[in-house]
Amino acid sequence: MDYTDRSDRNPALAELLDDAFVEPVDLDTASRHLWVIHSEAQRIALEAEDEVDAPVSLASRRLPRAAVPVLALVMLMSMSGVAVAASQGSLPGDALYHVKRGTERAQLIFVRDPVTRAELQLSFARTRLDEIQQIAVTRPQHVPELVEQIAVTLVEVEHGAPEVAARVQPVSESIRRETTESIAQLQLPVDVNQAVEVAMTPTAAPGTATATPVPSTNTPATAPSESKTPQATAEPKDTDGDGIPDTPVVIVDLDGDGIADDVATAFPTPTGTASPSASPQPTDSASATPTPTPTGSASEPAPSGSPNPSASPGPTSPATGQPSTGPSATPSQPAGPVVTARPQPSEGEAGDSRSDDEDADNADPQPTASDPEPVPTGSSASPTPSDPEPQPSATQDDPAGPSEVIARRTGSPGE
Amino acid sequence: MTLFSESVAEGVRRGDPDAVGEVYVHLADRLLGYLIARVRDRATAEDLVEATFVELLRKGNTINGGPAAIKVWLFRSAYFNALDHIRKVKRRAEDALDDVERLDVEDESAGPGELAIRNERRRTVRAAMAHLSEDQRAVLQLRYVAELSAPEVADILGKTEGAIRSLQHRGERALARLLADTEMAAEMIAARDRRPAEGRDQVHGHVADGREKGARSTPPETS
Repeated sequence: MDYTDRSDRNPALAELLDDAFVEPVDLDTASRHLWVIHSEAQRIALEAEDEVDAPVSLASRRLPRAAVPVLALVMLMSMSGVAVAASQGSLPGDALYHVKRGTERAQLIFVRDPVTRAELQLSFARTRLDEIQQIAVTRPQHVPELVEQIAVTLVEVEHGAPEVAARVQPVSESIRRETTESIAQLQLPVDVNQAVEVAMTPTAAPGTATATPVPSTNTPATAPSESKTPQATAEPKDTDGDGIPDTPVVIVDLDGDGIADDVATAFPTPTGTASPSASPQPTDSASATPTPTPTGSASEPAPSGSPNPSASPGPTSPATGQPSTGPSATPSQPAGPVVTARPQPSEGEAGDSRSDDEDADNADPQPTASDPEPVPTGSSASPTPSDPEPQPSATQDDPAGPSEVIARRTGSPGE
Repeated sequence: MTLFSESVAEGVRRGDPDAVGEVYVHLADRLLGYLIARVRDRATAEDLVEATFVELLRKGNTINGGPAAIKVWLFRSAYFNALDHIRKVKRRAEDALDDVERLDVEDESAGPGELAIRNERRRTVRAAMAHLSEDQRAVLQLRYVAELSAPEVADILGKTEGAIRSLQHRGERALARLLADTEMAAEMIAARDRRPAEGRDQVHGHVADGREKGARSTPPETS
C-alpha cells in the first residue's frame, strides 16, 4: 500500500502473518459476493421507488407469486455456481449479465502478473465486442456502454506499464480496429477512438473546448439573426436522434435514461462540438430547462436559465465563451457558453415552443442564448436575471449593444 | 498493489454497485484474510466479507473521503462485524485452532512435502497469535493483515496512536518470543534491526528455505 507507513512494520512478520492468514478469495465465492452486491443494489433501488409512490402501488409492486419460486431457484443456482456457468452466454440487459461481469472481475482478482492481467482484460474487451455484435439490433441502448467499457480497457492497458503495453499491443490494436469496424458495419453512431480519448483524459475536455468555439459561434450568430433558424445550426435539432451528425446526438438517441448521461460524458468531448465541458450539464439543463420553459411563468425560466449559464461558463467560458460571443455580442460572454451547452438537449423544445407561445419563444431563443429569455419575460422576472447578467438590463435599453441584439432576437420570435 | 481510484471512491459514495465491485476486486483478499484471522473459520469469514461489502454499498454515502477512507471504513466495519459474530458464537480460541486444516488451500504448485511444511508454519503462526492478548492481536491483525497505518488502527480501535504503537511493539516481541527457537523468530529480529526494510513483495509466495526448516522445529507451546 502506497499510502501507509510501511517502515514501522516488521517485514518478516508481515510476511509470516500474510502467509498465515491472507488467502485469495476463490472464484465462486467472489462471483457470489459480487452478485449479491448487485442484487442488493437493485433491491435498494426498488425500495427507493417504493418509498416514493408507496401509497399508490404498494400492492401492485409486490412480486407476483409465480416469481417467488423462480427467484428462489436463481438464488439456489447461484449458490452452486450454476448461475456463473449459465451467465456466460448472457448479454447486457439479461438477468444474469451482472453475474457474468462479476465473474470476470473475480477472475482479475487472481491474476497478479501484469501481462496476464492485461491479456485477460483484453479478452474481456473482446467479449464486449462480441456482445455489441449480438445486441446491436435488439438492444442498441446498451451499445455505448459497452463501447465505453472497451475504451476504458484499451486505455488502461495501453497506458499501463510500458512493457506490458508493448506486449499486448497487437491484441489491443486489433480490438480497437475490430470495434471500429463493427461499429461502422452496424452503422452505430459511436466512435471508439473518440471514446478512448475521452476515457483517457479528463483533461481532454478543456483542450477540446478550444475547438468548441466554432460551433458555438455558429449557433449564436444564426440565432440572433433568426431566432427560428436554430435548426440551421444542424446539431441542436437532433433530439429525435435520427439525423444526428455529431456524437452528442448519439447520446441523445440511445439515452433511454441514465445511460445517456454516461455516454454523454464519454463522447461529446472528443467531438469538439460545443458540448465538451458542458456535456454533463446538458443533460441536466435539458431536463431542467424544458419543464420550466413551457410553463412560461416568468419567474421559473429566469432561475433555470441563470443557473445553467453560470454552471456552464465555469468550465467552458474561458476557452469557448469569449470567441463565441465575439461575433454576436461582447458583453454576453456568459451567454456564449450557455449557448454551447444547450443546443443539444433543448433544440427540440426550442423548435416546438417557438411555434407555441411567446413564453415558449423566449425559451426557444435560450437554446441559442439563454440570457435573452429572462429579458423578454424580464418584464416580470427581470430583477433576478438582470443582476447576474448584463443582457436583461439590455432589454431595458441598457448600454450593451449586443444585449440589445439578443433582446431583439428574443423579442422578434415572441412577437 | 495500489488502491482503487478516486472515481471509484466517488461511485461508492453514490452507492454504485460497480464501484463497490471494484473495491471488492482490490480488497477482498485482504479483507478475507483479516476476517479469517479474526474468526478463524473460512466459511464464516466469507459470509462476513459479503455482509461487509453489502454494508459498504448501503452506507457508502456516509463515508467522507477517498479510497483510503473507504478502506478504513471497510476494515472497521469488518472489525465490528467479526466482533458481533464472536460474541454471538462465544467460541473459544483454542477450539478454533482445530479449524486450521480447513483454512489450508491446496496450492498446486507446491509438492506434498512443501505443502506440509507450509501448513506447519501457518499453524505455528496462528497458534502464536492466539496466545497474544486480545488488544495486541487486534492491533497486529489490523496493522499487518489489513495493512492499515497506525493512525487508522487507532481510529478503528478507539485508542491513541501511541497506544497502538506500543501494543504493536509488545505484540511483535511477544510473537517473537512465542516463535522462539524457530528461525522465524530469528528472521523477525533480524528484520526488525534492518527496518525500514525494502518493500516486501507479494503475499502468497513461498518463503525462503531456511525458514521452512525452522518451521519444522518445535512449534511454541500450543493449546
